[in-house]
Amino acid sequence: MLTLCDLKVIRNEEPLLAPLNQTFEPGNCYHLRGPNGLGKTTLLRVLAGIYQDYSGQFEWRQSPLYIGHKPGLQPALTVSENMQLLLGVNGLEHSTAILDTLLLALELLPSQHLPISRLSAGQQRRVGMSLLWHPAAASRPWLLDEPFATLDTQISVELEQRIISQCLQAQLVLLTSHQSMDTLSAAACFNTFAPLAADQR
Amino acid sequence: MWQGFVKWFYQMASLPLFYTKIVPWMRGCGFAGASLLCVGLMWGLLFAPADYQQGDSFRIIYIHVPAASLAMSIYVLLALWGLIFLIWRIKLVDIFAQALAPLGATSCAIALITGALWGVPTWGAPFAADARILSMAFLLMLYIGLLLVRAQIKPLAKAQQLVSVIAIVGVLNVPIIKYSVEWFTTLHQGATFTLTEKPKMPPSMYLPLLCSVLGTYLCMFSWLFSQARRVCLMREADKRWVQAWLVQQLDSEHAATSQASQDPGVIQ
Amino acid sequence: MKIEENAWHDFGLAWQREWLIWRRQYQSQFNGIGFFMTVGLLLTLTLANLTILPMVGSCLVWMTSLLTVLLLAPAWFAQDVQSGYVDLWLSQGRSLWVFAMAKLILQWLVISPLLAILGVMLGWQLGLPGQQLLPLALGLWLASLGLVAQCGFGAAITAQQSQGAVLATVLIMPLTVPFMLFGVSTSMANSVSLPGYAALLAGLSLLSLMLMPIAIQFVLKIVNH
Repeated sequence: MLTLCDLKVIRNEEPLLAPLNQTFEPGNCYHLRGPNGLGKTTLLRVLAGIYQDYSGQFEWRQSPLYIGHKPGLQPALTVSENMQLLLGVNGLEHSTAILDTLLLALELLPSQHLPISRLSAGQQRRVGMSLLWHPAAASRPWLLDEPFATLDTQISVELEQRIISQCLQAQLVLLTSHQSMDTLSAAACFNTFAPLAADQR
Repeated sequence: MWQGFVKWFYQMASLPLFYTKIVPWMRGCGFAGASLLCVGLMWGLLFAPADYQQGDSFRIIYIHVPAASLAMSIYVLLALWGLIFLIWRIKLVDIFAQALAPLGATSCAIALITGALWGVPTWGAPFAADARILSMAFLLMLYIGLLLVRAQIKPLAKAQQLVSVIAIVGVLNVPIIKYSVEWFTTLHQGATFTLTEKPKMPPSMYLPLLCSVLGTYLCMFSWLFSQARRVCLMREADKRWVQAWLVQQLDSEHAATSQASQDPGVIQ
Repeated sequence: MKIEENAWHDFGLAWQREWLIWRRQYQSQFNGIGFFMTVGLLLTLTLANLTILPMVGSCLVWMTSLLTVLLLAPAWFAQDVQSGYVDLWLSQGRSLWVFAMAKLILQWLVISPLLAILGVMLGWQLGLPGQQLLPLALGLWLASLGLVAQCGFGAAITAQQSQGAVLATVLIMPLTVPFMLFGVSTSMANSVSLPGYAALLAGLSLLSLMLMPIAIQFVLKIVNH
């Protein structure tokens, strides 16, 4: 669950969005909508705890998992090493057994020892999103910034399913996306949230 | 009285008010500083008695010492303002830092150049490896780094914060650098040339120096305020109060050129 | 399974990452080695017929070492900031100074033996007396910790810029002065005063290692915006 209390996101000393007073209920998936350049990514980064330029408060019941535009992959390392480091940073267990399960689920097993720079963009994105396939990830809220970008169709569908099952387990998902998410938008737990720009009172 | 001070402080932090209210201070400091500086320089350069050993060439300290002390004080001020900005985010403080940094770098350079000019007749060479000269040279490099970051890093918020951090780290390193340079030169270079002034000088020598130093500091404040006003205008160029001020300026110029100006309360 | 989360754990994470990256990218050290050897070769060629005083030779070795570290530094934080790893670290509420310290320590462990060995070779080439070579190696090894810490600060400031090397160099040069000076004094010390100088140098380097990561944390947060 996430509560926003008079949250004002600031960029270059100007408020970016209108002040936000909102409670996001668990068990729902919220799609942050708005035109390009509105500040959706900045808002997500504020909620993830990365961007510090804001006034007001927000409070998480549990610490979220954040996957942004840049997934934090190191080009020189192999797929399995990158995955191991990603899981480690996010506080998720990364034993060999779990790594193998994830690699299998994301169809990366044959390329697990290749350096990431040799993979296609879609495969790299899969490594970045592999967090969400981890068993322990189901017990934390998700903050996803353009999760479906550069992702293959099949994995996209799987991701939509995962998000829906996440909501069914009473967890919160916040995401931005410019792509049409057919399965997801038809689900009962799907909501839209459209923040206003600061000068649009 | 405390309330008065707090009120004045908050007024100063508001930029449009700062712009107008600081003008009398700016002029006062400028006038007083310029006159003191003139007196000090004239007295020192022309009228003070010549030094027993160095003859007339020592007179350059009347420029060298104010410049050097200005360079060091300004760096400390920059670090202090950086700290205040990082903790309390007062915009005015960062405007001060941006306004004063070039003056600090220039006075550092002047101190080095005048030191070199002093060195030529005294030691026969522009630069002896004296601890103070080296420390001043490293201070100049710190200044240049600061100015470069301010110029090159683009989003203003990022540049402000980075400059503040760099100034703080620099100021903490300056004593270490000075100490290590002094220690090194005494260890390896033999006798250093002491360039001390006040205790050993008779009043006829150090009074003009005092005058110059005081005058320089007052001038520094005046310069700070005038440059801060300029930076203020530039940063707030798209705000309403600047537009209104511009309009008022143009109107008053127009009125003045058309002979009789009947507008008493013009913001200048 | 709840993993024990504290600063040591963060350090372990960061260390593991740095170690993995270095294992795969150790060729990047060759830039530094190549640079050092090029400069050394040029020096020995141009100064071949001069008798160089021991102090000048020592200073040349130190200057070359400083330039080598300055060459290697800007790359340290660039990849982490630009790939978004720092974002992840911050989003999970971990301390960046631990991350910075792990990186600095690993870089020192990797660079300092190279500097010590290459420095001694260059010093010997330039004609330094034999009994000065060991203090030179010791001085280089100890001072490089401080140099790495200070250069890390400059690397953090220019992490987002593609041509940050010049800016980083200008910024860091004054900050490296104490280490250069104490280092030269250490390498010129005789056997009596050597322990004193070495202890002083080690103390200063360790102090720098303790304090610089905190400054680097501030800078990385700012630059990462």
